[in-house]
Formats: sequence, C-alpha cells, structure tokens
Amino acid sequence: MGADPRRLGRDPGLQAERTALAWQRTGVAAAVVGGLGVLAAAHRGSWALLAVAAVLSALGAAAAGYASTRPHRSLDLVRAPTRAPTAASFPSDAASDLAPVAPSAAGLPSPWSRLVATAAVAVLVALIGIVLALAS
Amino acid sequence: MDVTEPDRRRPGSVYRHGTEPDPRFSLANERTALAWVRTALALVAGGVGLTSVARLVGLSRWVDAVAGVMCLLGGWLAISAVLGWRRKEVALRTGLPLPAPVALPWLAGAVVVGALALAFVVLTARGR
Repeated sequence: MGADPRRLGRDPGLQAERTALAWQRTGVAAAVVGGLGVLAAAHRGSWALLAVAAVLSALGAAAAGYASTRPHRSLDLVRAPTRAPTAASFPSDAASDLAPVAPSAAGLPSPWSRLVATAAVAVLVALIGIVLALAS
Repeated sequence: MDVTEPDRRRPGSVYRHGTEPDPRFSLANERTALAWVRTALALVAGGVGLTSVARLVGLSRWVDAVAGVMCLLGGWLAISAVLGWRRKEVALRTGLPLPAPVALPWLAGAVVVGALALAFVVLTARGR
C-alpha cells in the first residue's frame, strides 16, 4: 500500500479519483458501443451509419482518454478534515468517509456539459440501433 | 460563505438554488448519473447486438422489435440520467430529501418483459 491519503490531506474516500474513473469507464463503454455500431453498419453495407458510429466511437474514446489525463480540479476541493491520523481513527474508515468537509467557496466544476454530451452520444447510438433494427 | 463573484456554472437552474453542498455528495451524484449512462449504453449495445445476431441467424422479426425497444429504452435512460442528476443536485443544494430514482422500476420492468419476450421467441423458433 502507498502512503495514507490522510497524511497528504486528501479525501480518504478518494471521491474525486473514483469520479474520474467513472468518467473513464463511461467513455470506454461509449467507444465499445460505437464500435459495435460500426461493425453492425459495415455488415449491412450502410456507409452513412458506419461513419456516424465511427465518429461517436472516437468521441467516446477521446472522453475516456481525457478523463484519465486531465488534472482534476476537484482533487483540490475534496480534502479530508485536517486531523492528525491517530491509531484510534484508522479503523473508523466508514465514519471518516462521511465526516463533514468545509465546502470551498468556488465549488466543484459543473459536470453538466460533459454529462449532456455523453448522454447525447448514447442517444445517437441508440438511434443507429433503432434504424438497424427497423431496416429490412 | 461569502461568494464575491456570481456563480457562472451551468445550468443556472441548478446552481441558482441553495448553498454549496459537501463536494463528495456532488461527486457521488455525478458517478450515479454516469452509472445510469453506462446502463443506457449497455441496453443499446444489447439492442444492436441482438438485431445483428438475429440477422445472421435468421431469427424472426420479433427479435428486431425487442432490439428496437431496447435501444429506445437506452436512449431514454441516457436522457433520464442527465435530468436525474439535475434534480438530485438541486435537492443536495437545498437540503431537501433526494428524489426517488424514477427510471429504476421502469428499467427493471422492461428487463423482465424483454427477457420473457426473447425467451418466447427463442423457444418458438426452436419448435419449428
């Protein structure tokens, strides 16, 4: 194991890291589903659908890469309560996970635009799937 | 908490309300929305895969109908993930109780109906 995150003043629940990983998983999932759409469209010989699915897949892959590399501003905002890590505080991980954190004045960056973009990718791939299912 | 400059974060319909919540709860809300988006993507993947396999194996058009409904449900879930994130973030900021996950019973019901429909199609296809 590495250094105790509490010594570094980090959130012991690693919320920001988990959120970045969730973005990465979602980006990978979007890329895979887009790839599936590419395969299905290629099999039907539909070049328009293939092109759209390829763009969506690339967007998903880009989102995954971005999520894993960008410096997460949230990391600085999610800090553990400044307490000395004592032996007694170590077993109470669940409790310390929910100990109140002083909210910063700036607040977390809004995930709105990224959420909407990701959902739009999912909706577009869903439309491709509906077209493929309806096409005879 | 003294915020000197106005909150420029979008959407204003969320950040106009209430006060800044514990950032970890906002991050958890974000992850929940992403989990919904992944569920939506899984449904779409299932739909696209299903219609492709049905075409390869020559299953009946009812499989295509199930696949289309799966894709439709996936698209709706992706939109509902974004709207759900907004409602929950407003609840977090205003200190109100979290709204119930509206899509959850619909998703579970659709999975049951879809599984039964597929089982029916597969069983009748084998009987022929």
